[in-house]
Amino acid sequence: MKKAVIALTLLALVLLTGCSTQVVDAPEAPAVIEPETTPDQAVGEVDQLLIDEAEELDIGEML
Amino acid sequence: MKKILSVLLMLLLAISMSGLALADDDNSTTDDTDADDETDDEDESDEDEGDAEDETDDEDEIDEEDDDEETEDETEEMEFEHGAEVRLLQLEKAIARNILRGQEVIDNAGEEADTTELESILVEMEALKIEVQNADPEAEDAVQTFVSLKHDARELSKKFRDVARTQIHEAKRAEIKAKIEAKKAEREEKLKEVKERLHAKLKAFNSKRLLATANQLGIGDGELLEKIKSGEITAKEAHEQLRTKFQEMTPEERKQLYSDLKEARVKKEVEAKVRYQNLKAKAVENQQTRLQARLGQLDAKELKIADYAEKRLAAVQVNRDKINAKMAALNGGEQ
Repeated sequence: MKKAVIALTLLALVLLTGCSTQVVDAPEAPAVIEPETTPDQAVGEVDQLLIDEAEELDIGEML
Repeated sequence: MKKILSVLLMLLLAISMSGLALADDDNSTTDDTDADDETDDEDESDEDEGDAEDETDDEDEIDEEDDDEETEDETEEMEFEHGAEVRLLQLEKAIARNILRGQEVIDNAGEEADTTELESILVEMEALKIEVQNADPEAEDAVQTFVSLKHDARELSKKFRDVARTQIHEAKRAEIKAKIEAKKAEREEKLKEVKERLHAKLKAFNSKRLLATANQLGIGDGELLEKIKSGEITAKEAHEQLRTKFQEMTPEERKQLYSDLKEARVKKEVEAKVRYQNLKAKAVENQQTRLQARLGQLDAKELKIADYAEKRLAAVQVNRDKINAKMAALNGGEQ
């Protein structure tokens, strides 16, 4: 009888520890507030479509 | 009861010991390194040389990766009107600039340096420049041609650099570098003609892209589109006007437009990435054929390049074998 009580207590302890660890491992995700898209960001995307005149094609140095 | 308690105690002990065992492993690694440091003093210089070689190899590999990414980006624009012309002109300018730099290296190398091979490399670079000039930007395989020719240009520059390092000592090289830097303005003046051609094509390319984007997004009034079309306003001015349009939009409209643009760009980048690996493999595979044709042309001009040609073909074969082995190892690792 005593043995059974100890075994059950241990089982309960293991289960409780497992549950509490899970709670610690999975914190609630903070609410993400998406920032507004600025005109600069939009223009930046348009820039990606263009080729910069200062851009040089790199084939390596000679020395 | 006692038995259960002792089993529990043993378990606790085992769990706490595993942490210690891991910590011990870390220490033992440090200890081993320390021991090696103490005993291998004599071999240090040899190791340093080995490390230096490894570093150069690593640098080359990093350079190659960077170059792959750059070339991949460059091919993205080639699908659009004037894009292939711009990339080929940029390549022509880069080769022309390196030929001028290479000539300056040879002129300043001094009598003690044997510049025969360097001169042959420059002859091959000249031939390569002509191939770039003759490449058809409207051909179906224009992107493949660009990737192949850029690959060869990069390899020739590296070859020149490697040979120059064996023929010219370090102090002299530093001196030549300073001279080359001092002559920058003079050199750029010689590139004026190709720069002007490039400028005109770039302007046309950017205007077309802006126009297509403005149309696609349904932004910009008729007047703005007309001005872009006629070339009346520069890409920079059109760009500023687009910014004003973006400012006038509601946050929701702007967000939608931004996300549309971003999605299109990412899609384009992914497509270019997939396509590039194939193009690069073909560029390596066909290099020997390109080289034979190029050397054949030089031979027809009665340039004395027989020894050089033999060396080049052998080097290309070695390079191809090396890349094939690397690819096979990568494919084997993936399976």
